[in-house]
Amino acid sequence: MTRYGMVIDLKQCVGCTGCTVSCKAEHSLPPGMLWARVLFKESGEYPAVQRSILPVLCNHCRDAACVKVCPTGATEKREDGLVTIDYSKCMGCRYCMMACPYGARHFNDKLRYFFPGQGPTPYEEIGYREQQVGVVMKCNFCQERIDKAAGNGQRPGVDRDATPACVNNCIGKARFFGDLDDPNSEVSQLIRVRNGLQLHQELGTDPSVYYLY
Amino acid sequence: MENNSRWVPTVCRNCTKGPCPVRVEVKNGVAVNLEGNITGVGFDRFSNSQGRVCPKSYGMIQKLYNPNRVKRPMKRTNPKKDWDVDPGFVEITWDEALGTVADRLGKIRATDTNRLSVAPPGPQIFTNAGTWDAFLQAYGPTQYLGSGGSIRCDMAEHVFGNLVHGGFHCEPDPVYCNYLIHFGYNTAASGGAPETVLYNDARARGMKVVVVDPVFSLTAGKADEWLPIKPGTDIAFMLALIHVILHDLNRYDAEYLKTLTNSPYLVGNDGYFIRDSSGKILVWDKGSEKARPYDDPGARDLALEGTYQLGDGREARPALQKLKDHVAGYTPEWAEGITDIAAVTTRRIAAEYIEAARIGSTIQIDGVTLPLRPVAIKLGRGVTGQMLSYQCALSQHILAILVGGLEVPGGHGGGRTAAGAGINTGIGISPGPDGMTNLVSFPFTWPPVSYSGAETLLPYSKAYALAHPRHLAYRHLVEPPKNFPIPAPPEALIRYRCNPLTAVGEHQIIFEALRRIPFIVSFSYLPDEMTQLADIVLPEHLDLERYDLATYVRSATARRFLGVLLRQPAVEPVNDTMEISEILTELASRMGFLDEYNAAINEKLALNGENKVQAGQRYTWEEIMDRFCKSVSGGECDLEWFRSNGGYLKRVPVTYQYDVHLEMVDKKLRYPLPYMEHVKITGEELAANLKKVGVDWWPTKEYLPLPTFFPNVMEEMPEKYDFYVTTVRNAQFSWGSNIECPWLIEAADLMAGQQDIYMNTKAAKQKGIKDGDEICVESEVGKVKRKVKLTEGIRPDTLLIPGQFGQWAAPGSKETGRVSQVTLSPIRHSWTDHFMSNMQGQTVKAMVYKVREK
Repeated sequence: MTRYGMVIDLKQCVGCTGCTVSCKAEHSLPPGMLWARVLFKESGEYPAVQRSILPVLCNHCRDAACVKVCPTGATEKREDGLVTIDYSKCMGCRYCMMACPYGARHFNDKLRYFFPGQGPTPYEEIGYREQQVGVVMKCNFCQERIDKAAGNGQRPGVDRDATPACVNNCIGKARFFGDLDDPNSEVSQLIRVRNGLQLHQELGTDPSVYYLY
Repeated sequence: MENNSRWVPTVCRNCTKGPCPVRVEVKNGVAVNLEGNITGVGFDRFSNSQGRVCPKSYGMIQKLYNPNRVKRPMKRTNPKKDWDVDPGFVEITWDEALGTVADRLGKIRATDTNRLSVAPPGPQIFTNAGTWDAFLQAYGPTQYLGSGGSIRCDMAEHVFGNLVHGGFHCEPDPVYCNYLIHFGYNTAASGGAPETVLYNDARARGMKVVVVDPVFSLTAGKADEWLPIKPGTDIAFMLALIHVILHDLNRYDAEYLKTLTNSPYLVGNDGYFIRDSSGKILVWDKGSEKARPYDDPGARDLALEGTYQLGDGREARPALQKLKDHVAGYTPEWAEGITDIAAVTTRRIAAEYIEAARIGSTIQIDGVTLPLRPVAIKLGRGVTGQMLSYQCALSQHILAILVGGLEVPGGHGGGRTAAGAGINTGIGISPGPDGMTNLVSFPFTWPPVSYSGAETLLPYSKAYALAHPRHLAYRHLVEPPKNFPIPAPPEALIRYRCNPLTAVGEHQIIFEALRRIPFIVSFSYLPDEMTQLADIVLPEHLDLERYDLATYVRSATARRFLGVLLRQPAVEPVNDTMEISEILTELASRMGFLDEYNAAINEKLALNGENKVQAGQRYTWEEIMDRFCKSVSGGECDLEWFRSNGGYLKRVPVTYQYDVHLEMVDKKLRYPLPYMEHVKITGEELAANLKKVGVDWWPTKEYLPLPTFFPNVMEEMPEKYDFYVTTVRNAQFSWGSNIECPWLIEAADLMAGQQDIYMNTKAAKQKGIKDGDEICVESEVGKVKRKVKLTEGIRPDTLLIPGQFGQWAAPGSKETGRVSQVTLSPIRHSWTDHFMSNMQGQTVKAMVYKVREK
């Protein structure tokens, strides 16, 4: 079986937010909608201060709470591990947002444009066509790239065209993608060698996003 | 990715770290997405950015379709120019716009070209590979107003690098470096893709990073150690490091110092090198126990330390001994009282630096054996944007030579790098007098020929053409300095991709200088602050609408690869804009100097052979680009090839990567370090010449041969200005000219306070200020009001205003209410480094008070 997952090396992430912006462009996300966020947290007292930088996204959990609660079947767990949303089935009840322990889901309540009062820009006109208002949205591991790759033999995490945009463009080389079920994949090896951690393991959701620290 | 989607290879050149190969996804003729590109020739192996892009690149898309863009040429109908006066712009045809400009500029050209001023960006090369320079050359000598450079640039490293080792850049060699000390350098925010990739690779393999900065920057947060130094005191810490190395550790690379520096040259008690009757500098030969000419083959065991009595009664000390004596009082304990860095820490850092240098080690790269010195010091704007930048740059280079680490693998490099024209035009080193590399300086020029007076006031500004205190040009125009006849004021100004009004400092001065100019032509993307003062507004194509070539300019970080990348239109022009090169051709044609312009294009774009453009003919930019492509590729690749492939990158031989060192050894040359007698002599001559002409407002006291401590000028401010206010780059905006892009604003907002003002928590408590309150920060020349974000990541005596915002006219930016530290920066002679030209702009002093509760 294949189970796609991501590894994020916190030592390497510099907090540039390139993942956030590349995701916005890749998915033509409307104003305020961030699928790939970066959390900054300061701790300690001057001068013994520390800054934690935590890039977050949908964890594509093996046992996803959002999937269980979706009343319409819009949110699904695919065989390859991706948790996806079929916008045509989503009725915007937002139950999934309540259920997700990671705050990874976002409701697109109404049509917004980047330049208020001036209508959509050309890239918004094209990008928003595929989306719907009144649905929940989230990171889809660049599902469109993975699906396209399935037809032409490209390998997600290895071939760029089949790899999520945030991974390709990360200037910190902090993000890795691949098959968690393949023990020889780069992601599996990194998790094994460097004791990759999932967020909130205690909840039993078994995320497909691992962190190296 | 639909069938009608295609990826267009082009380039991002939004910062000085690139160019980065990118490709743009175009759907139905609309640019919708972008990513790093590895599909060009060699891009997968020989690109510094390794197919990655930072957030800034994406701004190119949002700028392209920004509905607030200036969409057509405009002219002013209200002749009154003031802060709050509507210019009354009306749209006009290109014919009328260019006709008006050609008429005004043509008349000036017919009388005195110097009455035209130009305000280009600091490195205009990033937006224009040569036609801008060609136009100006063909037009005739013009005056320079502008921003960047002395104001917001690592000027000191450029001047000193060019001066001493022929390098525009002074950079660590991250491929081999194991121990790096950043002084006021925030690479995580300003390094873009190329530098972040390289430095992150280095960190991943174990490079230790120490960050010396008043602010817990992004870079400090990722470093192994953060030393929160008191602003403006870096020189004291550096001098203490030199002290520990020479006095406590007594460890240095003696072989390197003896052969590649002037360390053994004897210096007399008068501070000049000691020479024999024929003028040859002497060294002390320990073997024969006598002084011999520096190039005497009989002098085999050169003394670096000691005091020697010469036969003629003179007392002499080798330059290194002179340095050692000079820094005797600069102990870590002395420095602690100035810098707030504990003496024990300074001692440890110095020891770590020496240990990590692995003095004596070598490395074999591609079969070539070279010294390996994996330690380096990088000065950022936190140092080079302050006074004492000469003292700091000299100390930095001395710390490099003490371990034999200048221009060798792992160390401090940069030689033969240049800001670059279209072609890699590294300056390199050349033999000078006395066995040392050549030091270039202006002879005293009188009367001054520029508004800033750089050629008169700053002899070493010749080392780097852009090194002039352009901030002073504005002040001089408004308040002519005493006994200093600057040229007649401008009759016209061309503004191109820069914004002096928001970037330089003291707004009133800049505004007044610009307001007095009778005719301003502005190449404008947005109706921004500079546009408000313009008479004619020319909207030009933006990055994704135009052609240009971007060379992989050699820098130390980019020394391994060279190549050429094409910028090409990903989409048709969105508005009724024109390519700047076409505008310049049209203007040259209308003003009747097309032939001179064509000749200048041949020179500036280095067109060769049959690719040269001919007199008497007019060429489109696309035709010139084709010739440019063929010329730069040795005839192998034309424009069509570049359009399909995006460009090519190649690895260069190791003998080229470290050629400055190899050339130094081969030619038996020495760096003019650590003892800069040339500076002492130049300073004395400058002082005498200035006295002669009655200029008493330009001090020359810092023209010293060895690095010396002075208190920062900020300390002279009244006590009520009790906070240092500094600034830092944002990863989203640094250099990008993109601060109005919503994608980037959203991303920047992820880090709370990044668009506000940071203040230390305890310091705020003492002032009764709470997180989120609105505060006012007021200096002697300006004030800003903005929300405060409390943090433990800053010194209690320091405030941080990130970014360079403060726009009051540019749509998309003015609405955010963001402020700028620049507003607080005075433009003064006394706040200008008298050697390097940079202003004390990185940090000012101010008072802070609460305006409104959260």
